[in-house]
Amino acid sequence: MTEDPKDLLTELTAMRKRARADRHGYWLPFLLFGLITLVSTPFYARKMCVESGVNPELVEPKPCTWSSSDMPWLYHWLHPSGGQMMTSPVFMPASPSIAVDVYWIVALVCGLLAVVRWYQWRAAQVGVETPTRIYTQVTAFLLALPLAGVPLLSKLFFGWAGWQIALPVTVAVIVAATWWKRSVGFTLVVLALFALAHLVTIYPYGPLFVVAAGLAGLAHLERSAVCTVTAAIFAATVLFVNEAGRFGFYWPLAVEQYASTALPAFVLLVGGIIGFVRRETAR
Amino acid sequence: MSDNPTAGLDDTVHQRHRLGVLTIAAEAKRVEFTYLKSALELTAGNLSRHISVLEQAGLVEVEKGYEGKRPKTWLHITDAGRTALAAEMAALRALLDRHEGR
Repeated sequence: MTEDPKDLLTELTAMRKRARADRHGYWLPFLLFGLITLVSTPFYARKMCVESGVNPELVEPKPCTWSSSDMPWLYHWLHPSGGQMMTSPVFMPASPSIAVDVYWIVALVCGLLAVVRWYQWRAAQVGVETPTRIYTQVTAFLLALPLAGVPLLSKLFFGWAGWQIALPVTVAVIVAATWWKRSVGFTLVVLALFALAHLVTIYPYGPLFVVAAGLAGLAHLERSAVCTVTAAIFAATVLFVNEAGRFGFYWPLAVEQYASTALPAFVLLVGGIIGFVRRETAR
Repeated sequence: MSDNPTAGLDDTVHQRHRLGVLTIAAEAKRVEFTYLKSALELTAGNLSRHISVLEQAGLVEVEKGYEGKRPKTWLHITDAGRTALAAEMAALRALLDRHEGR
């Protein structure tokens, strides 16, 4: 190492960049969540039915009708606003199903644990560990809020207490939390996570918001251009597949059964492959 | 307080290998002894001495453990270490600016 300040600063910058490149491991979470998203596709398939008493060989099956009252209690708990209310670019959305909720809960919990374990394993191999606390906190928060926080608040506001009592109590809790943490930023982040958790419960592809927020946290930790750009494109894609229907965009009929999951999965898989190739070529 | 940038240099941190240890440690949650030895091209004995100085100054914390049967030593930078590193880098940049007449 050199003593000249200019050379010393250059050398330290090179060391920092090397340590950063060595600890990068985002390619695996991208591939993992890309596959998780892709595997969710069959859960969004439309169920087709024929009317009872009609020979199924003689008539064209139609999308099954459904009623909110047919859904199990868990569905109503997870979707307190009444389920998939928002429109997506799918012209005729699939009837809601508890199977897709269970799939996402299991997949997201396993994905979170796998990513944390991956970074620990990688640290043991390479010798330099990426901090995963922010990623874990954001994902765990966004898993817990739609499962418990949003349903409980909905019950509090519109059932048990009524909004006349629940609203002042909630405002008092927010003010107390801000005072306790001495940070308006902390409170704003928590409120943003609550808003995001609400979106998870009302959008058909809502669980992708959990993935997007977690990967945004990961991009913050990884400090990699490829990771940040992929996470940003993925977040934009998630917004698109959940919201485009509102603006009159619908997928072509031939692809509408899988396009809303295939497109975000494609973004993650491409980001993961680029990250993997960069790591291999940098060796 | 002197406005000479050298006044901002801390003897504990300014030593170039210790500065290297802090720079790498600041980039990660924790960093392993062998990684530092290879990145800084130091012998184990030399690196141990530098780490002891940083540990005594409260700039890093050392954690010894096992990975399977292999002993491993991990090091992580403290808040004081991050502050000292930021101050050192600022002093170095100020020194460079003065040298270059900016």
